[in-house]
Amino acid sequence: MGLKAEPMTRILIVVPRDRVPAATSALYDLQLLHVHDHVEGRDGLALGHPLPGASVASEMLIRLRAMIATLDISEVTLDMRRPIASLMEELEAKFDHLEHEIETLGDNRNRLRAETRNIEQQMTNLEPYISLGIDLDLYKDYETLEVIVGNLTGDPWKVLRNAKIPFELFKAKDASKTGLFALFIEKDRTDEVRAIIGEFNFTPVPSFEGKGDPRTVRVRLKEKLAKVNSALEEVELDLKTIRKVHGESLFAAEEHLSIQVEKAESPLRCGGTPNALFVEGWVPSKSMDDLEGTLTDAVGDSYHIEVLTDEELAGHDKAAVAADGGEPTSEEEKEGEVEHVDTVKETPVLSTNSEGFKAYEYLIKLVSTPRYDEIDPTLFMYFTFPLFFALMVGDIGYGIMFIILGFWMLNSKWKGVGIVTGITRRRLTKMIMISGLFTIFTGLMYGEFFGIELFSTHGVLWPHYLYVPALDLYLPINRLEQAMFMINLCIYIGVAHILLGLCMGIVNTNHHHGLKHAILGKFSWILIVIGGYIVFRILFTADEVVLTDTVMMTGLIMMISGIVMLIAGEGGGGLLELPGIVSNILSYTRLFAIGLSSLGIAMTFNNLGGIMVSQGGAMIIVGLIVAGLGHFINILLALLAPSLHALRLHYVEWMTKFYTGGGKEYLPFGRERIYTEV
Amino acid sequence: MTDIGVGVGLIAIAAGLAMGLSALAAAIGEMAIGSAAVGATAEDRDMFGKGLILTVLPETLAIFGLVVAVLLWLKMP
Repeated sequence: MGLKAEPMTRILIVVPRDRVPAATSALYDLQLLHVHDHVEGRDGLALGHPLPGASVASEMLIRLRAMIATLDISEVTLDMRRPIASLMEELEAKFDHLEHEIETLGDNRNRLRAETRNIEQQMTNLEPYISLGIDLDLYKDYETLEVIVGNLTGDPWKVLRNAKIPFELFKAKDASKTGLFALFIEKDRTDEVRAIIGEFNFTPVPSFEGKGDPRTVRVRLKEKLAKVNSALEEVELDLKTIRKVHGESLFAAEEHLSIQVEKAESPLRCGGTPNALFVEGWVPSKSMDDLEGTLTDAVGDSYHIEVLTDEELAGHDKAAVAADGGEPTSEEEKEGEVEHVDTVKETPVLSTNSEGFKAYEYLIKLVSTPRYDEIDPTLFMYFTFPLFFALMVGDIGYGIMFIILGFWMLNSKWKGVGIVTGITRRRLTKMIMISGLFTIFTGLMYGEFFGIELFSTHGVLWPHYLYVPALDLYLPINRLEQAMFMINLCIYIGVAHILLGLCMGIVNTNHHHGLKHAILGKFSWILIVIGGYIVFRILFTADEVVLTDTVMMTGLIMMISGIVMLIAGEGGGGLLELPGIVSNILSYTRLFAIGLSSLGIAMTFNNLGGIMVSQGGAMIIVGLIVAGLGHFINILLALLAPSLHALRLHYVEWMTKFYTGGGKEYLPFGRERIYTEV
Repeated sequence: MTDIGVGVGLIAIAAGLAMGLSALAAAIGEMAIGSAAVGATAEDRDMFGKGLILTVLPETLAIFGLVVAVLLWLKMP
């Protein structure tokens, strides 16, 4: 299960014109057919004609959506679904009146909102004049005087005095902080003064139109604002009342009308002649009978259905080319072949993963949807992703925290942010919980609990260890003391994971390009990885390198034959990728390195908290808080860094070995009614 | 202070350089990718996941640095 996409059948349905409404409606409600959008002129067919009533329905829909936007309804919860007959009857009776009312209220609201903004802006502009305390009339309408109002830093007044420029200065009460001033000078010396104050970070204050004491003006503005606000509140209240009374039915009607419009416009996605409609698309093979049954129920036997095979499609395209341009030239024949290959690429992909795997499917789709004919890697990721994550975090306490966090997220009212909402959020939450479970196991393996060693030589609970002589391994693994073992372990995992990717690559390449390509392009890499691993292992660990040693010879032969096959398959350019595979494998050492940094942070906060606790008294509480906060931050970091790096290992190191992607998501024609019922 | 000897000191310095310089290189790489990723996310929120993944790509450098540092550290008596 899961590895292959759901098998699809490509079909062509031909319906006579008078049966089109019944047939499209039935197909829409069935939600099984993935329509292959028709391009005008393909196979000599024009586009189908929209059903009568399409333009009326879509006009009404646009008006309805405008009303919903004004009412600001984004979702409603209905106690029960509305039957469409009564719903539409009710709506038609009140539509024009309601639209007028909502539109007027909406316009009023916009006008009042604009007015509020305007008054608030004026009040902000008035502020500096209130601090200056001079009547607003006194700032303007002079024949020989110029008034400059603004802020500056420093003391330019000395400079003005030295320059023998006469001036009168008013400073605001809080001028020492804001540097706000009003300066009265002779008009013909304005440029000179501006040049001088320009040196002191002068920024002008916008002028204010008004008369009298600025404080009185402010009082008047406040009164006006209050009036406008209360008017606005009234309008909002009216809109709220309408929303309460009619919101649900409007929202439900929107759904019904959208469906009407989609149905009515659906022939535009198909090919048509004046007398018939040609619907082309894909159905899951297992649902063929369903589809035929539904069509028979809807239109009797006045329809024709045909299963299109790849061979037929290729011939059919060539025929189309021939019909189009007379004699098929060799180039046009090639085009026909390209189209034939594309039928696989265009086949929609419906994954067969069960719900538990959907979160991982989502992660794969972040890269790209798998193609119809390639292995869906979700199943493997279901095990390797939590494993990698857990190897990095590896702490019993943190694992428990992840599971608690998961339970909280499943039961809390928090709706999530960004793209992590709804069903995605629930799936990601489950993923965190599975990762938490794995983390507890690796935590037992490392003997760590919130960065404290529970077992192993310095363990607080059980100061012992088990020695495994065959592996030169002490259990539990102390990550700091057995760094070399951990690095080796990471490389083993890397080699295994990359070999898995290459094996999947063989299957995919065999499917796409044939066995020869699969062997030369992918199997060669398997030989190189295994052979190279053996050779390097001996080079780095053996005391004395003997070339004629059997193991060494095997490794060398594997590696060299792999390289020869690679050159045969991809030319000399393939050699350039050799250093890449080394770095790919070494990249898995991050399973150890990231974990070390997480452990480092945990231990630091434990030490910090420990020192405070040892001082006794109130410091015990402070120490506990510090350690708790530190672990809280570390858990958040642990969710981010290890999961990103685990993903990266899959995306960059693993999936590049086999994954093509670029598949089309299976999006059946039609949609589920949520608010209405027929 | 105990005398740790010149050799051990040099190993420690080498480990520090391996870690520090590789982290610096990773940071320089992430700088460009990060700003581009933020730009892409601003245009299309769905790019957030991809941007985040792309941003951690150069971190490999820092990890190699850390591994080298650990290997050196294991050499210290």
